[in-house]
Amino acid sequence: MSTSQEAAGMAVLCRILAQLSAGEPMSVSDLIKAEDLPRSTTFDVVKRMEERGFVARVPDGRLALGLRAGAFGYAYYGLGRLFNTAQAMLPWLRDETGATVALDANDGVHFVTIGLWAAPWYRSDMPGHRLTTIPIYRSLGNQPARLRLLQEARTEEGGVAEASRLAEGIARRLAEALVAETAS
Amino acid sequence: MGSQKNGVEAAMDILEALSQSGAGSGSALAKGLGIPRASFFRLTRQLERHGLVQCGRGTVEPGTLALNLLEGHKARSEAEESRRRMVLGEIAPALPGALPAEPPPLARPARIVARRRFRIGFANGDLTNAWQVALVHSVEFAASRQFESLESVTVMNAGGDADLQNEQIRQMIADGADGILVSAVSPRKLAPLSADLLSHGVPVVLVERGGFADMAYTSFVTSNNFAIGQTTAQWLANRINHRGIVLMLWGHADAEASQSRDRAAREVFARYPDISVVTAEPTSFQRDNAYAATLASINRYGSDIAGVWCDSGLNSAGSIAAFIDAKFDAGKVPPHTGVDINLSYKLAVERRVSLASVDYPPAMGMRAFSVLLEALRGNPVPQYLDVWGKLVTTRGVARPPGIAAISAEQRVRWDMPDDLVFGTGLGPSYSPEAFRVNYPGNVRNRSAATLGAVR
Repeated sequence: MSTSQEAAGMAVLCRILAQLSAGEPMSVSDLIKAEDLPRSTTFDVVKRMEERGFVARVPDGRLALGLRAGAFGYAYYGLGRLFNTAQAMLPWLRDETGATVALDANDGVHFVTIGLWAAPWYRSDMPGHRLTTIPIYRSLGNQPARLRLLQEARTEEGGVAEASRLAEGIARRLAEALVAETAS
Repeated sequence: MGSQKNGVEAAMDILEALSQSGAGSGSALAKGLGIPRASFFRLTRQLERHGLVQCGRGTVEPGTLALNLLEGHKARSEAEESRRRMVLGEIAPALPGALPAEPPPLARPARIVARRRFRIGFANGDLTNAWQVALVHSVEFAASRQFESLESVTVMNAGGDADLQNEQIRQMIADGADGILVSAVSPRKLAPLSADLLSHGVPVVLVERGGFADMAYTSFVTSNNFAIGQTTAQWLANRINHRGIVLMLWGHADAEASQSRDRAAREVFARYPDISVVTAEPTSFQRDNAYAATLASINRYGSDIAGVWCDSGLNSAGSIAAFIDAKFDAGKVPPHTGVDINLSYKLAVERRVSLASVDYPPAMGMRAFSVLLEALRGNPVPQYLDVWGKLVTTRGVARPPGIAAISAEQRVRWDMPDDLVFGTGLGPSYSPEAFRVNYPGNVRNRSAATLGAVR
């Protein structure tokens, strides 16, 4: 492959990711039109991205960001390694406990919410949630993320404690994923 | 790998490596990926121009476009979730006190099936009662609501024959199924086949039955029978002020559901020395057997029976009918548990019988179907998942603290058949007799399940 072909392929890869990062699925034809991409190169790059999980098809055939793209997004905060665990366990935690679950990344100054799994009752402007915050440590004093569990105001103490215990178990799992990252 | 590798592939290698490490030395990353240094730095410079990575002095880390990818993926997931909720309904949380102590392990299929539409096989165990029919309806409903993700769905019923079920699964695989959903006739007989399918990258999701400790499967979706037994027994113990004779009616010694519920209930009653438990013979989940067993107990203990703990709606329907035939007036039939079919609600509401029930929800079929689709899409899924029912009690009866309950008077369907099963997730207009469904592979819009049918 020549350097110019390589550059063209790379540009297509980056521009597809940039377009899809708006969150809206797009057809390959629309991507080609929107970004003025070379047709045959685009089809080839899309095939490779799909095989690697950087893009995925939604049921109507359009392309959306895939799991690998999501994991790379988490990597901005150094949390790529816990992406899979978070995607599977945090909606499960929400369903089991009926609580809203948020995953926050520490950017060194603030905590930024990078994932929110909302319970059916949840509205962000509704006051009076019962909030439990669980730190996720990479090592002593190094807290790159935290979990927040928001339960309905009427939840009894026993329910809060029970859900918190389970969330702590999941926080440990997430921390283990981060330690595995360090080890690898 | 090396210099011959396609540039786009090498770029994706770099992005994946950065997903794992977050940031790192360029030279170390190049070495780890087997990309020549010069090629590596040429590629990263191009990625940097588009904001995907940021290069420092010999280091590489995700760039600002990664942040956009995070937001884009988050928005996409939330949209997908709200669609799923709209299509398949809300999920009930666990009963208080019944949350597992630890989260389940994660399962992931051996390979991502790079397909847009999937071929799914559902191997159902049997169709001898209304619950099993409702389970099939629940799976079919899920298929009909995710039409766009499916190329075909094949449903086969084994008629309680474990060997036939294994044969049917092999047939579905030979016909090109990407993943298998099973309500196992015999988990032990299924285990070797399940392990074989997993080793070939075919996800196997078990629903309702299955899942012993060392069995290989992708996920096991069921309902927590121990919690059902515990919650209903505690309600009954409180209702009778922790004293008197409790008649226990249970379905079958071999059924895990019966065993777990029974064990949990006994643990609760054993805490109260003034409760004396009388156990009837197993009823095989037959209403007539429950009726006969209750009548025999009434003849022996009469109105000393303070409460009846039943592990299922079929048993409570038989038991309440026995009390009515034994001339217990309205309001005088002792409190009952275990009421997940319509007839039990009708009898209880009409005769003012106090009752409590936690549905054993056939909606687990719907949930299991979604889990299988997630696994096929390459998403990690929990290896074990409980689908919870809601507590239903008659009005004017104290409910355990912290439990959201619905009333039996609201739930009963006077306009529906006696054997209507609740907790299907199919909505208030669900009728097993009228159920028609359209999904890929089902050309006649007829369900694969009618009571007693084997295909």
